[in-house]
Amino acid sequence: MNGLDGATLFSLRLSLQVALTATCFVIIVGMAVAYVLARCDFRGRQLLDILCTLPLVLPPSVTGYYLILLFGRNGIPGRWLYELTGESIMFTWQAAALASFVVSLPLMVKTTRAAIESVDVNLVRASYSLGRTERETLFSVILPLAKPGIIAGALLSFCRAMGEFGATLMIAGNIPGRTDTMPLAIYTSAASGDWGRAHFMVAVFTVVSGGLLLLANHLSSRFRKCGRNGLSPF
Amino acid sequence: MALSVALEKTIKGFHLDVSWEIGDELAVIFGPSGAGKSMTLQLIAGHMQPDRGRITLGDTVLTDTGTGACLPPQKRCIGYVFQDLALFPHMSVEKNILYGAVGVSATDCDRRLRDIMDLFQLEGLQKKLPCEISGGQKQRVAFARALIRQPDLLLLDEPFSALDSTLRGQMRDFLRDIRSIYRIPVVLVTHDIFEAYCLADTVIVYAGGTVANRGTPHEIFNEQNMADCETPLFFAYMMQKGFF
Repeated sequence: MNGLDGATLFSLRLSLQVALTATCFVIIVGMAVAYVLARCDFRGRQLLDILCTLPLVLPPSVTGYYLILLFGRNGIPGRWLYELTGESIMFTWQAAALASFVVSLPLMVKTTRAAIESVDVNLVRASYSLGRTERETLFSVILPLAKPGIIAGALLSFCRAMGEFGATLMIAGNIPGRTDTMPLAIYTSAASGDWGRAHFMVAVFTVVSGGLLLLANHLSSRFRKCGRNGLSPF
Repeated sequence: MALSVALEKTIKGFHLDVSWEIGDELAVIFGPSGAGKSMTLQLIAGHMQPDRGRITLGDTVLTDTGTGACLPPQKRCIGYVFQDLALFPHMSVEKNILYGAVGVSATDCDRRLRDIMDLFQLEGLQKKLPCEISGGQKQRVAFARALIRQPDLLLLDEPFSALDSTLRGQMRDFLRDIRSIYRIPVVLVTHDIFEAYCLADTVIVYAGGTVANRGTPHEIFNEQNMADCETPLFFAYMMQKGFF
């Protein structure tokens, strides 16, 4: 079994790089969107909710297709990026990160929104009545109490970003030594009969994702338990 | 300082239409569940907006739908003790109390914290979380937090409802002590007839979203007024407590 060779290490490193980059953006954007959806009432709220949930239910190929339309040179963001940097994002590791970001964002938004909505409305009102602004209330009351839910959402998003396949294939391709993340490398190995490499990567993937899910579940149950008992989750 | 309230609000088929005024006294809003008592407090605190109405506290207009004036809850300088107390579960007793000290200088803050911890008998509990202290101590922390910024008005939304009868008695005494120190209008919402009778300077009786009666506890709970509704319950309660 020739599992841990240079190509496998590259795929592992690239997957981590892509997933970490995507998760960083997912945390920032996801928390902002979740807060707006949970606490603000405005026209277009439902549209924003649907747009953020769509990648969860659309086939990855459809998500990837939309990304090609948008980030190809004919798409508005794609053209803008090309004019800004002189390069197209297509078939780069950044494209893989973009695909991972889009498909994992719904998990972050859904989990964080639920965590924010579960913060007792009287705690928020108490904060306002004590003279605290919305911003102070967000950072001193809402986010600390929603923290386990937010961390669970980030972990789920990281797992999803690590495992992204379809949309990544559409927008970043499967270029060995360049954009072949672990899921793509597993596909290539299995298709070419390199079972030793495929076995190794599948095992690594399963252990890492399983461990992260275990952690996410632990945080979620702790969050529910603390919420029921009025205790601090940390 | 006078609190003047004239409000109309319809929400989910319930219509609230009340008008009353109090001075530096303890007014009890008394009535059955669903009469609009807590809703009135939320409207006064600014957590809800009336359809029509005007609320003034001294010379300050808190809400006036006629002119469109509406102070946000943060600017109302109102102490609010919630039914579930709403203590921040992730903050220690000290942090919970200091969270209410907005706009107070650091040195003044320390002095006020010391004074209030002493007054509310919370010494030694500074670093405890709300889940680590007793029900009565939680009540006192909630009062201390509401009062540390020295509000112009104190709103109490059935704060003793979760306590057993012994502790309720202690907290009623405690509230009388607070009243002698903080001479501000206090509005206490309750559906406990005994609490209303014992604590109120003025009783405002709510029924179905309107003010059904208003007066001193003696005027409200005398035989004539109670004859058609709760007299048996009231006298039974008073006898149980050893008043007769």
